[in-house]
Amino acid sequence: MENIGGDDFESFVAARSGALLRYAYVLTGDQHRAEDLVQSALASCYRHWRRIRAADAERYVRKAVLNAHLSWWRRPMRTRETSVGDVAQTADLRMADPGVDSALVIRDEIWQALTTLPPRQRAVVVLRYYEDLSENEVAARMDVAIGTVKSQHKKAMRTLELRLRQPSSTDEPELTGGTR
Amino acid sequence: MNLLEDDLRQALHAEARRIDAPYELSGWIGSEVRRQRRRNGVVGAVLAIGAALAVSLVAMPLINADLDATYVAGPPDAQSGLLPWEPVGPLTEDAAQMESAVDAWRTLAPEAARPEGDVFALFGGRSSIFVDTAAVGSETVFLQAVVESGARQVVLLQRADASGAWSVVQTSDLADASAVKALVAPRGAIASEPERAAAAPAALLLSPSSRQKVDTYTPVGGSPDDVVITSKRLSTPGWELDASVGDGAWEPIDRSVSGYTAELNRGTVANYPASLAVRSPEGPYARGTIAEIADSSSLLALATGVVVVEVTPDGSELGSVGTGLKLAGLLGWPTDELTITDLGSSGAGTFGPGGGRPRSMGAVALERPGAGARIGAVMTGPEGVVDCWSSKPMPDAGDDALLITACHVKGKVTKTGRQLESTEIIGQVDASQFGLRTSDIDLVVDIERADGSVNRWRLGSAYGGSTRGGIIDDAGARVTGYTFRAVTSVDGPRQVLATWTWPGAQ
Repeated sequence: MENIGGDDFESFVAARSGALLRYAYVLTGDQHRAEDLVQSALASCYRHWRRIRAADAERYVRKAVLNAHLSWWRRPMRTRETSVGDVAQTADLRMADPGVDSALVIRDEIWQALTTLPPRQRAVVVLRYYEDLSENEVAARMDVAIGTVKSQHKKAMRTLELRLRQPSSTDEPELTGGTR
Repeated sequence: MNLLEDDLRQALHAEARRIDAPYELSGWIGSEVRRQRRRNGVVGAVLAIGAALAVSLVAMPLINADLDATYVAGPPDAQSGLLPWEPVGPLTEDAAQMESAVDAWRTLAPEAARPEGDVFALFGGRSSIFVDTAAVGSETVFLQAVVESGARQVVLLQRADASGAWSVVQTSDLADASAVKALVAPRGAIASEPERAAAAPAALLLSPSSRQKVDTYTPVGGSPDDVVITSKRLSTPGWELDASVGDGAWEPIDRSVSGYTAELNRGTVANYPASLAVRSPEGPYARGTIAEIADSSSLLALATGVVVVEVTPDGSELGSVGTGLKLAGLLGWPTDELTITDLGSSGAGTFGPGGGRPRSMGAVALERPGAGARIGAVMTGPEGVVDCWSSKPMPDAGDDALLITACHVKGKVTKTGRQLESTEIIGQVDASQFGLRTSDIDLVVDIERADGSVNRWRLGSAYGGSTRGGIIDDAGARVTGYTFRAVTSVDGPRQVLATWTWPGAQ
């Protein structure tokens, strides 16, 4: 086999695959899709590795992961794999163990709320608060105008605040067959 | 920084920390290779294989086309997290040789050198690597389970042949391997063989991470009607998972399930060869096929595209759409591509005998583009009150809700209005005639697809619990019919109380 990328690529994967996977996971909310994204990005980058490594490899691969994520959403539905994310279990957490750490519940609620965001809004949130990028850096990473980043960020935060303000189903004293 | 931003950071980083699976690189790279091979043909495959092998060689040196030895993994490297695989013996399926390999492993990694929580795995045999898919060739051999038998731990090495049958090819006693916490097969397996039952209780721990996976595996030659199940976190310490295969005895497979970390993760099952049961410290909680268990207490979506539909008796239309949106969010589906469908009706007594109550009832479904047939079911109390969603007793129906009605309902509610197209009651059963309440009854539905496959789902208890009243199958396969069965959910052999089919005899 031709060693296209050489040892650098192998070292990079060895050192960074875990971090890349975690990054993809917070983007997608689904570990299995995250694995797919990372492997696609790595496979894509591998063939151009000599060129990539001259630049910032980590940034390049992360951008590839992001692009793969956003392009996945742009695919026709019929061509997508339907990946299965974690199911919200906040209700279970509370009902099964009333003494559960409230911080854990809050974290879980936030995570569930994040799953409701459209992919671009979620990407902005992840880049801002997981990657700790500035708005300018987010715009560069996503190849969009900074105004777009600001608007997407604002919408995302508004959505999250609204969702987190809503009582969960387990907060309802009586469910008479559910509410719609 | 406001509170939300701070919480966001914490939540994102906390969730990210839960993902720690570099050891799986080889598996999913391998999957991608196969996908690209199918998609791109030979040229694409060569490129993909080249890339994948390079990555695989880094991620797990075991993944090598020239596999010629049995390997054992030591503790993960502290920096890379990778498992330092070491060849410990010849590639073999011979029990004696494998025993020697294990002995060699003991020599290489003496007990004292294994810190608590390390991960070890042992592979052997032809085509032994990509156990995460069915495309592994005609024969697969891999480390299948650590069996706890008293104070002993036993490693079972098992093989699935082309017919999908499993057999134990090696049982190795790792009497001192108390540090063995997990078996690293990229995707685990729950296999069927009498030897395993004899060796029970078994522990099947498949992930060294905080999220312990119990993945199922479609043996080579298994049915193509795979069902991918979703995650289920068990919340209560002390809960356990049991497993059985076919009519085999129930046996615990994971005694370490506790806290918030354990989950059933997605996997594949062919015709439900394996079953799981979830037990609380107080006793049985749920028992059934993997799909049933995964489906037992939460909103659920399946990679096959089957979506659970909730049936609710009350509330605003906006709420219906809201439920759909909530589901869509959980599924990660883009809401702008969805049709949110309400399979229910407005007004009185559509479903219930005697006119029912002046309230709306029905199901809300999500329909994705290209969806197949929709299926809805409603269950009613004595006055036509639907109760398929509440997790608490429904005051209106009290404990007297005895009548179960199964309907085929068709309709649509979009964001602008509700349109019930038709309702067809396909059967009713009065639980009291069996001396039961609706809470003692579960509904199970078999969806028949045009390709002849059948998917079975448990809709949940007919009363109370986290139930739901219907399903939608949009896997692209046309649904040609379905069969509801009302079965007892009380302990003991399940008794089928009633069977309803749609379409009926035609």
